Amino acid sequence: MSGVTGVSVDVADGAVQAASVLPVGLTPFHGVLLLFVAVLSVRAFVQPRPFVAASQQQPAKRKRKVRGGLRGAVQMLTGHSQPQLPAPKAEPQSHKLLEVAFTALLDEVFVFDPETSRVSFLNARAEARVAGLGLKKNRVRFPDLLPAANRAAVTGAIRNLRHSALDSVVFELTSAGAPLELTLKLIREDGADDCFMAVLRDISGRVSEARAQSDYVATLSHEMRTPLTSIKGAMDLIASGQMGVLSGNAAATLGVAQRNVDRLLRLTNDILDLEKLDAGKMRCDFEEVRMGLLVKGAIEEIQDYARKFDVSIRAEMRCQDCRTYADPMRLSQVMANLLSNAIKFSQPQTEVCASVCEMDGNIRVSVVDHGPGIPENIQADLFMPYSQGPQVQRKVASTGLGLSIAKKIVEAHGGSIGFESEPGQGATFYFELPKAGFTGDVAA
Amino acid sequence: MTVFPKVLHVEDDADIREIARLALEVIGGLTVKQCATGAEAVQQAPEVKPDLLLLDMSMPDMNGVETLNAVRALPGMSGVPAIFMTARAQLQEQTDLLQEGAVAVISKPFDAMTLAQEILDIWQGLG
Repeated sequence: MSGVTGVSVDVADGAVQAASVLPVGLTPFHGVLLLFVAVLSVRAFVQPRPFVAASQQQPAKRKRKVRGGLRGAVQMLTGHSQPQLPAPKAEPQSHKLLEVAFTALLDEVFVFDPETSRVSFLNARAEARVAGLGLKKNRVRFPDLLPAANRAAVTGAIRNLRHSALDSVVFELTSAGAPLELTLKLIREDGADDCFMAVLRDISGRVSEARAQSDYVATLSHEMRTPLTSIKGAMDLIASGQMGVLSGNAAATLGVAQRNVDRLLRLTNDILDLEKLDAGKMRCDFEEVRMGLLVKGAIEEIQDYARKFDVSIRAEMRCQDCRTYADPMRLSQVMANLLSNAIKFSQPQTEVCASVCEMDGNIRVSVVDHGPGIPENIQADLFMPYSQGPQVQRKVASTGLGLSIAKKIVEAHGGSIGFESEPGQGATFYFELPKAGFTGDVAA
Repeated sequence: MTVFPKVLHVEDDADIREIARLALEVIGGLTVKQCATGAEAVQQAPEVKPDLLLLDMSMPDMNGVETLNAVRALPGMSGVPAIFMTARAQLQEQTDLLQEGAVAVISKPFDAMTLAQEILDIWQGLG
Protein backbone atom coordinates (compact mmCIF):
# COMPACT_ATOMS: atom_id res chain seq x y z
CA MET A 1 0.00 0.00 0.00
CA SER A 2 1.34 3.38 -0.79
CA GLY A 3 0.29 6.95 -1.02
CA VAL A 4 -2.52 7.14 1.49
CA THR A 5 -2.96 10.86 1.33
CA GLY A 6 -6.16 11.23 3.24
CA VAL A 7 -9.07 9.34 4.63
CA SER A 8 -12.61 9.46 3.51
CA VAL A 9 -14.95 7.89 6.02
CA ASP A 10 -18.38 7.35 4.67
CA VAL A 11 -21.05 8.26 7.13
CA ALA A 12 -24.79 8.37 7.10
CA ASP A 13 -24.98 12.13 6.75
CA GLY A 14 -22.04 12.84 4.52
CA ALA A 15 -18.31 12.32 4.42
CA VAL A 16 -15.23 13.64 6.11
CA GLN A 17 -11.81 14.31 4.76
CA ALA A 18 -9.52 14.09 7.73
CA ALA A 19 -6.41 15.02 5.82
CA SER A 20 -7.54 18.57 5.32
CA VAL A 21 -7.82 19.29 9.03
CA LEU A 22 -5.00 17.29 10.54
CA PRO A 23 -2.63 19.18 12.80
CA VAL A 24 0.89 19.92 11.72
CA GLY A 25 3.18 16.96 12.17
CA LEU A 26 0.55 14.32 11.60
CA THR A 27 0.33 12.66 8.23
CA PRO A 28 -3.01 11.70 6.76
CA PHE A 29 -2.13 8.11 7.56
CA HIS A 30 -2.07 9.03 11.23
CA GLY A 31 -5.45 10.62 10.69
CA VAL A 32 -6.80 7.27 9.58
CA LEU A 33 -5.43 5.62 12.69
CA LEU A 34 -6.67 8.39 14.96
CA LEU A 35 -10.21 7.96 13.73
CA PHE A 36 -10.02 4.24 14.22
CA VAL A 37 -8.69 4.53 17.76
CA ALA A 38 -11.55 6.80 18.65
CA VAL A 39 -14.08 4.51 17.01
CA LEU A 40 -12.73 1.46 18.79
CA SER A 41 -12.76 3.22 22.11
CA VAL A 42 -16.41 4.09 21.73
CA ARG A 43 -17.33 0.67 20.41
CA ALA A 44 -16.20 -0.82 23.69
CA PHE A 45 -19.23 0.82 25.32
CA VAL A 46 -21.93 -0.17 22.91
CA GLN A 47 -23.63 -3.45 22.08
CA PRO A 48 -21.67 -5.13 19.31
CA ARG A 49 -23.55 -6.30 16.27
CA PRO A 50 -24.16 -10.01 16.45
CA PHE A 51 -24.16 -11.07 12.87
CA VAL A 52 -22.28 -10.49 9.71
CA ALA A 53 -23.45 -7.03 8.83
CA ALA A 54 -22.64 -4.63 6.10
CA SER A 55 -22.97 -0.90 5.78
CA GLN A 56 -23.92 0.65 2.50
CA GLN A 57 -21.51 3.18 1.17
CA GLN A 58 -23.11 6.58 0.79
CA PRO A 59 -21.99 8.99 -1.88
CA ALA A 60 -19.93 11.89 -0.57
CA LYS A 61 -22.21 14.89 -0.37
CA ARG A 62 -20.40 17.47 1.69
CA LYS A 63 -17.24 17.85 3.65
CA ARG A 64 -17.27 18.21 7.39
CA LYS A 65 -14.60 18.64 9.98
CA VAL A 66 -13.12 15.77 11.91
CA ARG A 67 -15.32 16.21 14.95
CA GLY A 68 -18.54 15.55 13.04
CA GLY A 69 -16.87 12.89 10.98
CA LEU A 70 -15.66 11.11 14.06
CA ARG A 71 -19.19 11.01 15.37
CA GLY A 72 -20.38 9.84 11.99
CA ALA A 73 -17.73 7.16 11.85
CA VAL A 74 -18.69 6.02 15.32
CA GLN A 75 -22.31 5.83 14.25
CA MET A 76 -21.39 3.96 11.12
CA LEU A 77 -19.26 1.35 12.77
CA THR A 78 -21.38 0.87 15.84
CA GLY A 79 -24.77 1.20 14.29
CA HIS A 80 -25.70 3.61 17.06
CA SER A 81 -26.01 7.34 17.15
CA GLN A 82 -23.98 8.79 19.99
CA PRO A 83 -25.59 12.03 21.10
CA GLN A 84 -23.95 11.63 24.49
CA LEU A 85 -20.48 11.37 22.99
CA PRO A 86 -18.46 14.29 24.33
CA ALA A 87 -16.96 16.42 21.62
CA PRO A 88 -13.18 16.38 21.55
CA LYS A 89 -11.88 19.49 23.27
CA ALA A 90 -8.82 19.94 21.13
CA GLU A 91 -7.90 18.63 17.72
CA PRO A 92 -4.08 18.49 18.10
CA GLN A 93 -2.70 15.09 19.03
CA SER A 94 0.90 14.02 19.21
CA HIS A 95 2.65 11.05 17.77
CA LYS A 96 3.33 10.02 21.35
CA LEU A 97 -0.36 9.98 22.14
CA LEU A 98 -1.06 7.86 19.11
CA GLU A 99 1.70 5.45 20.01
CA VAL A 100 0.42 5.13 23.56
CA ALA A 101 -3.13 4.63 22.38
CA PHE A 102 -2.23 1.93 19.90
CA THR A 103 0.08 0.18 22.33
CA ALA A 104 -2.61 0.19 25.03
CA LEU A 105 -5.31 -0.99 22.68
CA LEU A 106 -6.52 -4.51 23.48
CA ASP A 107 -7.68 -5.03 19.90
CA GLU A 108 -5.37 -5.94 17.08
CA VAL A 109 -5.27 -3.33 14.29
CA PHE A 110 -3.93 -3.98 10.82
CA VAL A 111 -3.78 -1.90 7.65
CA PHE A 112 -3.24 -3.81 4.46
CA ASP A 113 -3.21 -3.48 0.70
CA PRO A 114 -6.34 -4.62 -1.15
CA GLU A 115 -4.39 -6.15 -4.06
CA THR A 116 -1.69 -8.06 -2.25
CA SER A 117 -3.21 -8.20 1.27
CA ARG A 118 0.29 -7.33 2.51
CA VAL A 119 0.18 -5.65 5.92
CA SER A 120 1.70 -2.16 6.03
CA PHE A 121 0.80 -1.20 9.60
CA LEU A 122 0.06 -3.13 12.76
CA ASN A 123 -0.15 -2.22 16.44
CA ALA A 124 1.54 -3.95 19.35
CA ARG A 125 -1.24 -6.49 19.91
CA ALA A 126 -1.22 -7.31 16.23
CA GLU A 127 2.55 -7.73 16.29
CA ALA A 128 2.14 -10.29 19.04
CA ARG A 129 -0.15 -12.36 16.79
CA VAL A 130 2.34 -12.17 13.93
CA ALA A 131 5.22 -13.17 16.19
CA GLY A 132 3.17 -15.95 17.74
CA LEU A 133 2.62 -17.43 14.31
CA GLY A 134 6.33 -17.23 13.57
CA LEU A 135 5.81 -14.80 10.68
CA LYS A 136 7.79 -11.71 9.66
CA LYS A 137 5.75 -8.58 10.20
CA ASN A 138 7.13 -6.83 7.13
CA ARG A 139 6.13 -9.65 4.81
CA VAL A 140 2.91 -10.97 6.24
CA ARG A 141 -0.35 -11.13 4.31
CA PHE A 142 -3.44 -10.38 6.38
CA PRO A 143 -5.47 -13.57 5.62
CA ASP A 144 -2.49 -15.68 6.73
CA LEU A 145 -3.00 -14.35 10.25
CA LEU A 146 -6.46 -15.87 10.52
CA PRO A 147 -7.55 -19.41 11.40
CA ALA A 148 -7.27 -21.54 8.26
CA ALA A 149 -10.99 -22.30 8.26
CA ASN A 150 -11.85 -18.61 7.93
CA ARG A 151 -9.36 -17.57 5.27
CA ALA A 152 -11.50 -18.35 2.23
CA ALA A 153 -14.48 -16.43 3.62
CA VAL A 154 -12.37 -13.40 4.54
CA THR A 155 -10.56 -13.41 1.20
CA GLY A 156 -13.95 -13.56 -0.49
CA ALA A 157 -15.20 -10.65 1.63
CA ILE A 158 -12.13 -8.59 0.71
CA ARG A 159 -12.78 -9.27 -2.97
CA ASN A 160 -16.49 -8.53 -2.59
CA LEU A 161 -15.97 -5.26 -0.78
CA ARG A 162 -13.65 -4.04 -3.52
CA HIS A 163 -16.20 -4.74 -6.23
CA SER A 164 -19.46 -3.86 -4.56
CA ALA A 165 -21.20 -0.87 -3.08
CA LEU A 166 -20.51 -2.14 0.43
CA ASP A 167 -17.58 -0.79 2.39
CA SER A 168 -17.43 -2.70 5.65
CA VAL A 169 -18.23 -6.10 7.04
CA VAL A 170 -18.12 -7.72 10.47
CA PHE A 171 -17.32 -11.40 10.95
CA GLU A 172 -17.32 -13.65 13.92
CA LEU A 173 -14.48 -16.13 13.61
CA THR A 174 -15.25 -18.98 15.95
CA SER A 175 -13.70 -21.88 14.13
CA ALA A 176 -10.48 -22.28 16.13
CA GLY A 177 -8.96 -20.99 19.34
CA ALA A 178 -10.39 -17.94 21.09
CA PRO A 179 -13.40 -16.56 19.22
CA LEU A 180 -12.61 -13.35 17.36
CA GLU A 181 -14.61 -10.56 15.85
CA LEU A 182 -13.13 -9.21 12.65
CA THR A 183 -14.14 -5.80 11.33
CA LEU A 184 -13.00 -5.16 7.78
CA LYS A 185 -13.28 -1.64 6.47
CA LEU A 186 -12.38 -0.52 2.97
CA ILE A 187 -11.09 3.05 2.89
CA ARG A 188 -11.77 4.61 -0.48
CA GLU A 189 -10.36 7.96 -1.48
CA ASP A 190 -10.44 9.69 -4.85
CA GLY A 191 -6.96 10.04 -6.26
CA ALA A 192 -5.38 7.66 -3.76
CA ASP A 193 -4.99 3.95 -3.45
CA ASP A 194 -7.65 2.11 -1.50
CA CYS A 195 -6.60 0.38 1.69
CA PHE A 196 -8.20 -1.98 4.16
CA MET A 197 -8.30 -1.67 7.91
CA ALA A 198 -8.91 -4.76 9.94
CA VAL A 199 -9.56 -4.96 13.65
CA LEU A 200 -9.48 -8.27 15.48
CA ARG A 201 -11.14 -8.39 18.86
CA ASP A 202 -11.19 -11.25 21.35
CA ILE A 203 -14.88 -11.95 22.02
CA SER A 204 -14.49 -14.90 24.38
CA GLY A 205 -16.49 -13.09 27.05
CA ARG A 206 -19.30 -12.21 24.70
CA VAL A 207 -19.47 -15.72 23.26
CA SER A 208 -19.58 -17.16 26.76
CA GLU A 209 -22.44 -14.83 27.69
CA ALA A 210 -24.21 -15.73 24.46
CA ARG A 211 -23.96 -19.41 25.30
CA ALA A 212 -25.42 -18.81 28.75
CA GLN A 213 -28.25 -16.76 27.27
CA SER A 214 -28.86 -19.33 24.57
CA ASP A 215 -29.01 -22.09 27.19
CA TYR A 216 -31.51 -20.04 29.17
CA VAL A 217 -33.73 -19.46 26.15
CA ALA A 218 -33.53 -23.11 25.14
CA THR A 219 -34.44 -24.20 28.66
CA LEU A 220 -37.34 -21.77 28.82
CA SER A 221 -38.50 -22.97 25.43
CA HIS A 222 -38.36 -26.57 26.60
CA GLU A 223 -40.16 -25.85 29.86
CA MET A 224 -43.01 -24.10 28.07
CA ARG A 225 -43.30 -26.52 25.21
CA THR A 226 -43.47 -29.62 27.38
CA PRO A 227 -46.83 -28.83 29.04
CA LEU A 228 -48.13 -27.40 25.78
CA THR A 229 -47.31 -30.70 24.08
CA SER A 230 -49.45 -32.58 26.58
CA ILE A 231 -52.34 -30.11 26.48
CA LYS A 232 -52.44 -29.88 22.71
CA GLY A 233 -52.03 -33.62 22.27
CA ALA A 234 -54.81 -34.41 24.74
CA MET A 235 -57.21 -31.97 23.08
CA ASP A 236 -56.46 -33.22 19.59
CA LEU A 237 -57.02 -36.83 20.66
CA ILE A 238 -60.32 -36.02 22.33
CA ALA A 239 -61.44 -33.96 19.35
CA SER A 240 -60.64 -36.84 16.98
CA GLY A 241 -63.51 -38.84 18.44
CA GLN A 242 -61.22 -41.83 18.98
CA MET A 243 -61.55 -41.45 22.75
CA GLY A 244 -65.36 -41.40 22.64
CA VAL A 245 -68.04 -39.42 20.86
CA LEU A 246 -68.46 -35.79 21.93
CA SER A 247 -71.70 -33.88 22.06
CA GLY A 248 -72.01 -30.83 19.83
CA ASN A 249 -71.51 -28.43 22.72
CA ALA A 250 -68.52 -30.35 24.07
CA ALA A 251 -66.90 -30.36 20.63
CA ALA A 252 -67.47 -26.62 20.26
CA THR A 253 -66.04 -25.95 23.71
CA LEU A 254 -63.05 -28.12 22.96
CA GLY A 255 -62.56 -26.22 19.71
CA VAL A 256 -62.22 -23.00 21.68
CA ALA A 257 -59.55 -24.58 23.85
CA GLN A 258 -57.72 -25.98 20.82
CA ARG A 259 -57.62 -22.66 19.01
CA ASN A 260 -56.27 -20.96 22.09
CA VAL A 261 -53.62 -23.52 22.85
CA ASP A 262 -52.45 -23.13 19.25
CA ARG A 263 -52.35 -19.41 19.81
CA LEU A 264 -50.40 -19.84 23.03
CA LEU A 265 -47.92 -22.01 21.21
CA ARG A 266 -47.42 -19.47 18.42
CA LEU A 267 -47.07 -16.76 21.02
CA THR A 268 -44.45 -18.78 22.92
CA ASN A 269 -42.47 -19.27 19.73
CA ASP A 270 -42.76 -15.61 18.73
CA ILE A 271 -41.79 -14.28 22.16
CA LEU A 272 -38.77 -16.52 22.25
CA ASP A 273 -37.77 -15.48 18.73
CA LEU A 274 -38.18 -11.81 19.59
CA GLU A 275 -36.22 -12.19 22.80
CA LYS A 276 -33.38 -13.85 20.96
CA LEU A 277 -33.39 -11.19 18.25
CA ASP A 278 -33.48 -8.36 20.78
CA ALA A 279 -30.59 -9.89 22.68
CA GLY A 280 -28.70 -10.39 19.44
CA LYS A 281 -28.56 -14.07 20.23
CA MET A 282 -30.51 -15.55 17.38
CA ARG A 283 -28.15 -17.76 15.50
CA CYS A 284 -28.04 -17.14 11.77
CA ASP A 285 -26.28 -19.56 9.45
CA PHE A 286 -25.37 -17.52 6.41
CA GLU A 287 -25.03 -19.05 2.99
CA GLU A 288 -25.61 -18.03 -0.60
CA VAL A 289 -29.34 -18.08 -1.21
CA ARG A 290 -31.16 -17.98 -4.55
CA MET A 291 -34.05 -15.75 -3.65
CA GLY A 292 -36.35 -16.99 -6.40
CA LEU A 293 -36.14 -20.55 -5.12
CA LEU A 294 -36.64 -19.44 -1.53
CA VAL A 295 -39.79 -17.49 -2.41
CA LYS A 296 -41.18 -20.37 -4.49
CA GLY A 297 -40.54 -22.72 -1.58
CA ALA A 298 -42.32 -20.38 0.83
CA ILE A 299 -45.32 -20.22 -1.52
CA GLU A 300 -45.53 -24.01 -1.73
CA GLU A 301 -45.36 -24.29 2.05
CA ILE A 302 -48.30 -21.96 2.56
CA GLN A 303 -50.62 -23.25 -0.18
CA ASP A 304 -52.80 -25.26 2.22
CA TYR A 305 -53.25 -22.20 4.42
CA ALA A 306 -54.17 -20.08 1.39
CA ARG A 307 -56.81 -22.61 0.31
CA LYS A 308 -58.53 -22.27 3.68
CA PHE A 309 -59.02 -18.58 2.91
CA ASP A 310 -59.88 -19.25 -0.76
CA VAL A 311 -56.95 -17.10 -1.82
CA SER A 312 -54.56 -17.95 -4.68
CA ILE A 313 -50.87 -17.05 -4.75
CA ARG A 314 -49.01 -16.02 -7.89
CA ALA A 315 -45.21 -15.89 -8.18
CA GLU A 316 -43.56 -13.26 -10.36
CA MET A 317 -39.83 -13.86 -10.71
CA ARG A 318 -38.19 -10.97 -12.50
CA CYS A 319 -34.76 -11.89 -11.18
CA GLN A 320 -34.72 -15.66 -11.28
CA ASP A 321 -31.06 -16.00 -10.38
CA CYS A 322 -30.71 -13.19 -7.81
CA ARG A 323 -28.57 -14.34 -4.91
CA THR A 324 -27.87 -12.95 -1.48
CA TYR A 325 -26.05 -14.06 1.64
CA ALA A 326 -28.59 -15.01 4.23
CA ASP A 327 -29.86 -17.64 6.61
CA PRO A 328 -32.47 -19.38 4.43
CA MET A 329 -34.49 -20.60 7.43
CA ARG A 330 -34.81 -17.08 8.82
CA LEU A 331 -35.70 -15.60 5.44
CA SER A 332 -38.31 -18.33 5.00
CA GLN A 333 -39.73 -17.23 8.36
CA VAL A 334 -40.01 -13.66 7.03
CA MET A 335 -41.67 -14.87 3.83
CA ALA A 336 -44.12 -17.05 5.80
CA ASN A 337 -45.06 -14.04 7.89
CA LEU A 338 -45.60 -11.69 4.95
CA LEU A 339 -47.50 -14.31 2.95
CA SER A 340 -49.72 -15.38 5.85
CA ASN A 341 -50.54 -11.76 6.65
CA ALA A 342 -51.43 -11.11 3.02
CA ILE A 343 -53.63 -14.20 2.91
CA LYS A 344 -55.36 -13.48 6.23
CA PHE A 345 -56.28 -9.97 5.19
CA SER A 346 -57.33 -10.83 1.62
CA GLN A 347 -60.89 -11.11 0.42
CA PRO A 348 -61.89 -14.64 -0.70
CA GLN A 349 -61.26 -15.41 -4.39
CA THR A 350 -58.58 -12.78 -4.69
CA GLU A 351 -54.92 -13.19 -5.50
CA VAL A 352 -51.74 -12.55 -3.54
CA CYS A 353 -48.66 -11.87 -5.67
CA ALA A 354 -45.12 -12.56 -4.45
CA SER A 355 -42.37 -11.12 -6.65
CA VAL A 356 -38.59 -10.97 -6.74
CA CYS A 357 -36.75 -8.23 -8.63
CA GLU A 358 -33.47 -6.35 -8.63
CA MET A 359 -33.49 -2.74 -7.53
CA ASP A 360 -30.41 -0.50 -7.22
CA GLY A 361 -28.08 -3.40 -6.55
CA ASN A 362 -30.44 -4.93 -4.01
CA ILE A 363 -32.88 -7.77 -4.26
CA ARG A 364 -36.43 -6.70 -3.51
CA VAL A 365 -39.04 -9.25 -2.51
CA SER A 366 -42.61 -7.94 -2.52
CA VAL A 367 -45.90 -9.43 -1.37
CA VAL A 368 -49.01 -7.71 -2.73
CA ASP A 369 -52.50 -8.34 -1.42
CA HIS A 370 -55.95 -7.01 -2.23
CA GLY A 371 -57.15 -6.68 1.34
CA PRO A 372 -58.44 -3.62 3.15
CA GLY A 373 -55.03 -1.95 3.29
CA ILE A 374 -53.30 -0.56 6.37
CA PRO A 375 -55.32 2.02 8.35
CA GLU A 376 -53.43 5.30 8.48
CA ASN A 377 -53.56 5.47 12.27
CA ILE A 378 -51.40 2.35 12.69
CA GLN A 379 -49.05 2.79 9.73
CA ALA A 380 -46.33 4.65 11.67
CA ASP A 381 -45.92 1.89 14.26
CA LEU A 382 -46.77 -1.12 12.15
CA PHE A 383 -43.49 -2.89 12.82
CA MET A 384 -43.78 -2.39 16.59
CA PRO A 385 -45.09 -5.32 18.67
CA TYR A 386 -48.89 -5.41 19.03
CA SER A 387 -49.33 -2.35 16.82
CA GLN A 388 -52.54 -3.64 15.22
CA GLY A 389 -54.41 -3.72 18.49
CA PRO A 390 -55.95 -6.71 20.27
CA GLN A 391 -59.19 -6.67 18.28
CA VAL A 392 -57.41 -7.12 14.96
CA GLN A 393 -55.03 -9.67 16.46
CA ARG A 394 -57.89 -11.83 17.69
CA LYS A 395 -59.82 -11.43 14.46
CA VAL A 396 -56.99 -12.69 12.29
CA ALA A 397 -55.43 -15.05 14.87
CA SER A 398 -52.23 -13.04 15.04
CA THR A 399 -49.73 -12.90 17.89
CA GLY A 400 -49.02 -9.27 17.04
CA LEU A 401 -45.29 -9.98 16.90
CA GLY A 402 -44.77 -11.36 13.40
CA LEU A 403 -43.88 -8.10 11.64
CA SER A 404 -41.56 -7.06 14.49
CA ILE A 405 -39.73 -10.37 14.13
CA ALA A 406 -39.62 -10.05 10.34
CA LYS A 407 -38.14 -6.55 10.61
CA LYS A 408 -35.44 -7.63 13.04
CA ILE A 409 -34.51 -10.64 10.94
CA VAL A 410 -34.24 -8.54 7.77
CA GLU A 411 -32.18 -5.90 9.57
CA ALA A 412 -29.91 -8.58 11.00
CA HIS A 413 -29.18 -9.45 7.36
CA GLY A 414 -28.20 -5.85 6.57
CA GLY A 415 -31.48 -5.25 4.73
CA SER A 416 -34.58 -3.14 5.11
CA ILE A 417 -38.32 -3.82 5.22
CA GLY A 418 -41.30 -1.61 4.49
CA PHE A 419 -44.76 -1.35 3.01
CA GLU A 420 -46.93 0.77 0.76
CA SER A 421 -50.67 0.94 1.27
CA GLU A 422 -53.65 3.00 0.39
CA PRO A 423 -56.50 2.20 2.76
CA GLY A 424 -59.07 0.18 0.85
CA GLN A 425 -56.60 -0.60 -1.95
CA GLY A 426 -54.63 -3.47 -0.43
CA ALA A 427 -51.02 -3.41 0.68
CA THR A 428 -47.57 -4.20 -0.62
CA PHE A 429 -45.00 -5.40 1.90
CA TYR A 430 -41.44 -5.68 0.71
CA PHE A 431 -37.94 -6.29 1.96
CA GLU A 432 -34.62 -5.59 0.33
CA LEU A 433 -31.31 -7.35 0.84
CA PRO A 434 -27.89 -6.67 -0.67
CA LYS A 435 -27.40 -8.70 -3.82
CA ALA A 436 -24.41 -11.02 -3.62
CA GLY A 437 -21.66 -9.27 -5.58
CA PHE A 438 -20.36 -12.39 -7.21
CA THR A 439 -21.43 -15.83 -8.29
CA GLY A 440 -18.18 -17.59 -7.44
CA ASP A 441 -17.33 -20.29 -5.04
CA VAL A 442 -16.26 -18.35 -1.96
CA ALA A 443 -17.79 -19.61 1.26
CA ALA A 444 -19.52 -17.11 3.49
CA MET B 1 -49.18 -55.09 3.58
CA THR B 2 -47.52 -52.57 5.85
CA VAL B 3 -45.28 -54.06 8.53
CA PHE B 4 -45.50 -51.92 11.65
CA PRO B 5 -42.34 -51.44 13.68
CA LYS B 6 -42.20 -52.25 17.37
CA VAL B 7 -41.36 -48.94 19.04
CA LEU B 8 -39.45 -48.38 22.28
CA HIS B 9 -40.44 -44.91 23.46
CA VAL B 10 -38.35 -43.17 26.14
CA GLU B 11 -39.81 -40.02 27.69
CA ASP B 12 -39.44 -38.69 31.23
CA ASP B 13 -42.67 -36.63 31.26
CA ALA B 14 -45.54 -38.92 32.24
CA ASP B 15 -48.21 -36.81 30.53
CA ILE B 16 -46.38 -36.73 27.24
CA ARG B 17 -45.79 -40.47 27.54
CA GLU B 18 -49.53 -41.01 27.85
CA ILE B 19 -50.35 -38.74 24.91
CA ALA B 20 -47.73 -40.47 22.78
CA ARG B 21 -49.05 -43.91 23.77
CA LEU B 22 -52.58 -42.95 22.75
CA ALA B 23 -51.29 -41.38 19.53
CA LEU B 24 -49.20 -44.40 18.55
CA GLU B 25 -51.36 -47.26 19.82
CA VAL B 26 -54.94 -45.99 19.54
CA ILE B 27 -54.62 -43.69 16.53
CA GLY B 28 -51.77 -45.43 14.72
CA GLY B 29 -52.13 -49.06 15.74
CA LEU B 30 -48.43 -49.43 16.54
CA THR B 31 -46.96 -51.66 19.23
CA VAL B 32 -45.25 -49.49 21.82
CA LYS B 33 -43.20 -50.14 24.93
CA GLN B 34 -42.54 -47.09 27.07
CA CYS B 35 -39.78 -46.22 29.53
CA ALA B 36 -39.36 -43.18 31.77
CA THR B 37 -35.54 -43.11 31.76
CA GLY B 38 -32.62 -44.04 29.58
CA ALA B 39 -31.44 -46.58 32.15
CA GLU B 40 -34.83 -48.30 32.07
CA ALA B 41 -34.65 -48.39 28.29
CA VAL B 42 -31.23 -50.07 28.38
CA GLN B 43 -32.67 -52.63 30.78
CA GLN B 44 -35.80 -53.29 28.72
CA ALA B 45 -34.34 -53.21 25.22
CA PRO B 46 -32.95 -56.81 25.09
CA GLU B 47 -36.36 -58.18 26.03
CA VAL B 48 -38.44 -55.80 23.89
CA LYS B 49 -36.17 -56.09 20.84
CA PRO B 50 -37.44 -52.83 19.34
CA ASP B 51 -37.40 -52.12 15.61
CA LEU B 52 -37.24 -48.41 16.31
CA LEU B 53 -36.28 -46.13 19.21
CA LEU B 54 -38.29 -42.99 19.86
CA LEU B 55 -36.22 -40.91 22.26
CA ASP B 56 -36.94 -37.69 24.08
CA MET B 57 -33.83 -35.56 23.91
CA SER B 58 -33.93 -33.72 27.24
CA MET B 59 -34.09 -36.18 30.11
CA PRO B 60 -32.35 -36.21 33.49
CA ASP B 61 -29.50 -38.65 34.05
CA MET B 62 -29.25 -39.92 30.48
CA ASN B 63 -30.35 -37.70 27.61
CA GLY B 64 -31.54 -39.02 24.25
CA VAL B 65 -28.10 -39.27 22.69
CA GLU B 66 -26.63 -41.06 25.70
CA THR B 67 -29.59 -43.44 25.75
CA LEU B 68 -29.15 -44.17 22.04
CA ASN B 69 -25.45 -44.89 22.48
CA ALA B 70 -26.11 -47.13 25.49
CA VAL B 71 -28.82 -49.13 23.71
CA ARG B 72 -26.70 -49.50 20.59
CA ALA B 73 -23.87 -50.82 22.74
CA LEU B 74 -26.06 -53.79 23.66
CA PRO B 75 -25.55 -57.08 21.78
CA GLY B 76 -27.54 -57.13 18.54
CA MET B 77 -28.68 -53.53 18.91
CA SER B 78 -25.91 -51.68 17.10
CA GLY B 79 -28.03 -50.89 14.05
CA VAL B 80 -31.35 -50.02 15.67
CA PRO B 81 -32.70 -46.82 14.07
CA ALA B 82 -33.68 -43.92 16.33
CA ILE B 83 -35.89 -40.87 16.12
CA PHE B 84 -35.29 -38.01 18.54
CA MET B 85 -38.08 -35.83 19.86
CA THR B 86 -37.06 -32.37 21.00
CA ALA B 87 -38.65 -29.14 22.09
CA ARG B 88 -35.49 -27.33 21.05
CA ALA B 89 -36.63 -26.48 17.61
CA GLN B 90 -33.59 -24.61 16.34
CA LEU B 91 -32.52 -25.99 12.99
CA GLN B 92 -28.88 -26.27 14.02
CA GLU B 93 -29.78 -28.32 17.07
CA GLN B 94 -31.85 -30.63 14.90
CA THR B 95 -28.97 -30.96 12.45
CA ASP B 96 -26.62 -31.75 15.32
CA LEU B 97 -28.97 -34.49 16.50
CA LEU B 98 -29.02 -36.10 13.06
CA GLN B 99 -25.24 -36.16 13.19
CA GLU B 100 -25.51 -38.05 16.47
CA GLY B 101 -26.96 -40.97 14.55
CA ALA B 102 -30.71 -40.37 14.49
CA VAL B 103 -32.67 -41.03 11.30
CA ALA B 104 -35.07 -38.16 12.00
CA VAL B 105 -35.95 -35.48 14.52
CA ILE B 106 -39.55 -34.70 15.47
CA SER B 107 -40.28 -31.32 17.03
CA LYS B 108 -42.39 -30.89 20.13
CA PRO B 109 -45.16 -30.20 20.42
CA PHE B 110 -45.88 -33.03 18.04
CA ASP B 111 -49.21 -33.51 16.31
CA ALA B 112 -50.86 -36.40 18.16
CA MET B 113 -53.13 -37.14 15.20
CA THR B 114 -50.28 -37.57 12.71
CA LEU B 115 -47.42 -38.78 14.94
CA ALA B 116 -47.89 -42.45 14.15
CA GLN B 117 -48.10 -41.83 10.40
CA GLU B 118 -45.01 -39.63 10.56
CA ILE B 119 -43.08 -42.40 12.28
CA LEU B 120 -44.36 -44.98 9.80
CA ASP B 121 -43.27 -42.79 6.90
CA ILE B 122 -39.79 -42.47 8.38
CA TRP B 123 -39.66 -46.21 9.05
CA GLN B 124 -40.72 -47.11 5.52
CA GLY B 125 -38.22 -44.58 4.13
CA LEU B 126 -35.45 -46.59 5.74
CA GLY B 127 -36.17 -49.38 3.30
